[in-house]
Amino acid sequence: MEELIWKYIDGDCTREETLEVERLLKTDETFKNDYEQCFTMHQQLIATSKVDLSLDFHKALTLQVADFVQSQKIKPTFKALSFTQILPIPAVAMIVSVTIASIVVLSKNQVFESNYLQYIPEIGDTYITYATWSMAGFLLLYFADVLLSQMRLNKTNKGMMMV
Amino acid sequence: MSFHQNKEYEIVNRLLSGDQRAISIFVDEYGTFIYHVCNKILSHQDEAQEATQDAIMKILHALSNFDTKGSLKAWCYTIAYRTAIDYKRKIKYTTDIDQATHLHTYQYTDENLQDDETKYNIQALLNHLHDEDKMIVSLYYLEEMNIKEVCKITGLTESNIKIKLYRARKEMALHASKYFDQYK
Repeated sequence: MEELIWKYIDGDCTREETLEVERLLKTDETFKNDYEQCFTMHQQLIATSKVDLSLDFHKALTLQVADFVQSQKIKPTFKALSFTQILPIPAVAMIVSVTIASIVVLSKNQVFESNYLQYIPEIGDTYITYATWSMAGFLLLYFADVLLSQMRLNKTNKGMMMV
Repeated sequence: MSFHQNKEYEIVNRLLSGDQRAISIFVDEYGTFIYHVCNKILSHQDEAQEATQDAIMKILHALSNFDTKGSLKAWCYTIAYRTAIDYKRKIKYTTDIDQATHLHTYQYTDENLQDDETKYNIQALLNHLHDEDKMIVSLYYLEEMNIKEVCKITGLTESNIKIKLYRARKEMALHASKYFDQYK
């Protein structure tokens, strides 16, 4: 009988079982008492199940998680990579290529010219100008991103202080 | 990947990138859930808080290896449950509820005397159950989870959960008269 009562309370009864429970509730006093006890326990379990964190403990957990995330910087995904981490790669590549190009143009080393220069296209002032502007553009974006990241970090720190 | 898994994956990614809002969501949703699991196993606020902090550190350390095909909540549950069990073994917590009931110096306040007493007695009743059964009852009633959600979190089958739930409540009903007048 108790199994049927719990099925009824949980809403798992078939139509026939529901009708049977409803009939017993009207006619059988013992069944009615058992049902009331089970239902009271059910209600008490619902009422006492909710757990709220105390304000202090919630604050402590937030700080713990924030500290860990800030200090560990655990494996960011590609999406999480900022320009700060990506931009230096083409910027450095550009600096290296311009430096090599300058050396090649300026040096009139015969051995270098005969061995390597044949593989490098003709380098003129226009190429160097474009390369310099590209490099300057990259560096500008890089510094802008560093600045924005710093501003974002300051904002986050202020938020943390408020927490 | 389901919508719910997508949401969890997004929280993990944002948490890993240090997003302040994701930290709040993680603490509100998962921190509370982890505390609930630890509290049900340990039945003691201070120890449950300590175990919760420990479980959260374990979760954070392993978060970058989290399999996004699984459920974050189920994963948190497993870590929290094991951590709480370890704590229970470590502190040699007494399972003799009658002894605990008499020794416990519980301070009732005038304002919520009835609520506190009911909560305390229900916890005492839950302590009569094995840890796994205790967790199933707690999860079922926590935010009124349905059987399917409990299955997802515990990894047990639906019929297994139903049987355990029924037996656990039957066991609780046997001891109920010790704690509640209306069961006498």
